[in-house]
Amino acid sequence: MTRLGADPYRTVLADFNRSGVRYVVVGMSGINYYATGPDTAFATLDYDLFVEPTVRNVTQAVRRLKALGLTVGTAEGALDAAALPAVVRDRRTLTATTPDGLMIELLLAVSGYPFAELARDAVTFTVQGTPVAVGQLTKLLKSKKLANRPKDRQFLRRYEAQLREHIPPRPRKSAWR
Amino acid sequence: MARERGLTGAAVARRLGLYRSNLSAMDAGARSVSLRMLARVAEVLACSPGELLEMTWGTEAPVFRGAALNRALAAREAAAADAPERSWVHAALLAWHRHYRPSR
Repeated sequence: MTRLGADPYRTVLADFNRSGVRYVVVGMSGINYYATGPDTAFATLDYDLFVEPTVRNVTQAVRRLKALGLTVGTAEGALDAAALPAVVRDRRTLTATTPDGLMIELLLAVSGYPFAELARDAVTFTVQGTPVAVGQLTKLLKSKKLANRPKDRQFLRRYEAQLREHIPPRPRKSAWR
Repeated sequence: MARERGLTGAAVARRLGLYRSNLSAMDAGARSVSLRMLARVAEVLACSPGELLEMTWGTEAPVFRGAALNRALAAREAAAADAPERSWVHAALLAWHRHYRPSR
């Protein structure tokens, strides 16, 4: 077992909490924290962290991920430390990959919300004692709605169908009235 | 958005030649904004006017059509208010990863 332990997600989040990296879990992985159990969660391989898009915060995030043994890159390949200010300026997505191939995406922008807007009322969940900051459910869904990609539209339809199943039926009016 | 660009509300107001209170009123929707002012704010924040509009109008609309659905959504959100334990979410993520990851 590496220093990432059995749950690399928790290890990274605990490290970010300790070192003051500002992040919010977003996307489908964020939405899954609101599920009431595995039967209402949506299968995904994505784990998206919206990190505050400042050079200082992103530099600290990258430094911590590398210290934990993850490989950090962009869509263009390995991350050149000198290019980090440009990555932040252009709001490009960073990827952090564990030796086992598990990937965490660091987003520097999401549809509809600046970082501060998602961070200010983020909900704290806990995972084996580690606090996890997750964006408000409504905001995560609205962000998907605004992104409006085919996969987002499909997901929202599935989410709506699932939510509909949990709406209690309206009481029927009595025939005697 | 201003904070992400290293600006305070006061600094943005100064660059626009406005009082801070006027800018706050615009931000809160208590004061109307001309197209010219929208373009100037976008220029100061180095974004497009469309992005500013998306952040206000796009996020105010309800997620779903139908009050019952939005009430169910609000109830699900409210149920998560007190730091619930979610170890199973990570267990599920790791299981999906083991199951679906491409063979290496």
